[in-house]
Amino acid sequence: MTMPASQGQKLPLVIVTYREIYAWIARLDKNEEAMFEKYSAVVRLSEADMKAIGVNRGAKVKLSNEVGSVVVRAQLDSKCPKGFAFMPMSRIPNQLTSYQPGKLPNFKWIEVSAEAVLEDVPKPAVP
Amino acid sequence: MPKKDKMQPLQLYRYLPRSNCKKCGVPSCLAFAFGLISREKKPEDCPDMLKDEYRPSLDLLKEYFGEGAQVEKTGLLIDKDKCTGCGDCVIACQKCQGTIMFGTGTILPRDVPDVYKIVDGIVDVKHWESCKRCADRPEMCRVCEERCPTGALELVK
Amino acid sequence: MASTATTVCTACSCLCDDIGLQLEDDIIRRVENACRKGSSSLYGARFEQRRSRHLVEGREVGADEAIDRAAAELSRARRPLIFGLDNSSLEAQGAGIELARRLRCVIDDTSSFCQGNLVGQILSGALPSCTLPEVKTSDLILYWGANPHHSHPRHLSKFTIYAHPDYTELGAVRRVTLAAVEVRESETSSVCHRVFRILPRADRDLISAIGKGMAGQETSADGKRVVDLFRKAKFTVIFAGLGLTYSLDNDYLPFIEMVKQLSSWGRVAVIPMVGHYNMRGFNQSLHKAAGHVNKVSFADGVSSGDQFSFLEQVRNRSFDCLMVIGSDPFASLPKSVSSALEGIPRIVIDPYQSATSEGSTVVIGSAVTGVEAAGTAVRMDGAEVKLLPPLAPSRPGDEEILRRVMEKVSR
Ligand code: SF4
Repeated sequence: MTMPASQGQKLPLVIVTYREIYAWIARLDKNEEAMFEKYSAVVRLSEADMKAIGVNRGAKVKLSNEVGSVVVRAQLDSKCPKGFAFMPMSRIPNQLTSYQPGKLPNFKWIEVSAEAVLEDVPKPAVP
Repeated sequence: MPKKDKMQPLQLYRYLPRSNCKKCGVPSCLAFAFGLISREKKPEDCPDMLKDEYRPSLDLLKEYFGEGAQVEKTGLLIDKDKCTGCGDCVIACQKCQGTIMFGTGTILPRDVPDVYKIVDGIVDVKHWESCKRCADRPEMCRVCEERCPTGALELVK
Repeated sequence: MASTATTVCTACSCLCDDIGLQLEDDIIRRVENACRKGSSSLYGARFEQRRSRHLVEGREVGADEAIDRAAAELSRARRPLIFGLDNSSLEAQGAGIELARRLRCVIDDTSSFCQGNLVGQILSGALPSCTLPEVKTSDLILYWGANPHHSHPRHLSKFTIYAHPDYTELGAVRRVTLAAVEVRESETSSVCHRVFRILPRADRDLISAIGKGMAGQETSADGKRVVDLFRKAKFTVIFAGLGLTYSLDNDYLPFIEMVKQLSSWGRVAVIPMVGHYNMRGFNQSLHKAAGHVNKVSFADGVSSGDQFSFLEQVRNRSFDCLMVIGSDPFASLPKSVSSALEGIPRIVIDPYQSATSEGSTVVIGSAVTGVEAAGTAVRMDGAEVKLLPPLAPSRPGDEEILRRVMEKVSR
């Protein structure tokens, strides 16, 4: 497969995390663990942003900021506004979150830059 | 995943060869798309889809439709992975087929057992015979599918 | 021997009390009515590989030794900190608060970065609230920044729209409306009658747009639509989720103003979408005992403030021994914060192994409250629910552990 022309571009994004049912229960049940693995290491992007980064559905995206970086799979969210991305809450986005005194941790406003990569997506650890 | 991500026949059609070659046994590619949704056809049933140029489309469709779906006799397909056991369908169905409305607007309960029950956290069909689709004069009701927030319930007929 | 039982689910703060079980010699064989989350938590109690054992520095020991060591660590510490208790019964929370008082230390729970402030506003009377059964008399149900289908799966079918007597699938007249304010297309917003999609962090703008609309001024299109919806409603229930809390950054003033204004049009009630099943219980217990919902220090009398929030304490490394009860800060906090916890002795009381229990000085395996241990819990609307554990306890309960630790600490 040929890489799209814009591959390698870094795109600033704001990540908003949300709750996934599997993140709560994965450690209680073998089946749920499999579901958690399937759904947790993903980022849901708008079509325009996917194009800008140069990835297709299911391709790997590296998200990084000054606190850390993670590699996850891209998923299309047709209703996602441009410049934002959604990610299920788990230990994965927590590699990117930080905390400013007097405020809440930025679970719902994580500024990152996103780029397409070929690295492997790590197997998410059960919460 | 919210249910709106579900593909409609015309969206599926875009992934097909669109040559209407009829090799799959139906008159057109659009008819094949409907066949895919009702699970009567599999993506591999289209000989052109096996060609290299359609590889990405085939992979996508295979992933989308998954393996070994079992369509029940009312045309119901339950995706157990997606179901969160919220029980919305249980109550919505109860209020739909478990009640009768008279012309005056009065709503009375009907004496039938619930169609659905949540067992081990996932929806299960307990009483087919209560479903309006199984009545003597079947009614193509879609309430449970419409109310399912995750798209785990799909009526393919 | 096969038997049946009814139990209360403790996987979320809906505390569903209609869960049917089929048991066979202390093993659950079938769970009815519970959602996926609930049934996993019921089955999970017998998933031995994931349950925690009593450990002291990684070595497996008996309960007595673990408790002795925990008490010794707490006695030795100059400034211990107690965190958690959201997944414990009211009785255990009482014991935890008493222990904090005795140790003259700081006590906090996840509500300090969750719904604690909102619960506090309700307890202090700044925000009107109602009980979940009362929701059945409302005519507008609004989820604001919440997706109950993943956090409280049976919320809609057991307490709100589908449980509403006026909700029908027949006829064209809608007598109760389900609405949502959401930033993304979620499961809940996909079944709502009305959805107001906003950008992340735009909740404040929407609130001020609503305020303007109510005052009859020019406002945004969405603001106008929400105001129209409120105007028609006689009794509105707003379920406030974490989306709202985080967007307002815990500053509820504009929201309180809005609710006050709305109350002149009809009854308005706010119910927090509390996560852990007894987080509201912790807030209420601490409110009763110390006058504050969280972030309390018993060092000189009773004081409360942001400096006692768990996050601030961790950032400043203000404690020298951490006791975590039924919580997993290592998994739920930013990595950059939780890494500051390395090197501080930890005592973990948890039924399950977790990222926090790994590498802890002392781990005390406890019974799963609600499945193995009895007690009382507080539902998200403030109602007390008595738990009905269906299984025999395989480990001591949180309350028992805390009381035994308390007997042994010398202060
Ligand atoms: S909604 Fe909550 S309390 Fe009810 S069964 Fe599900 S997890 Fe348990």
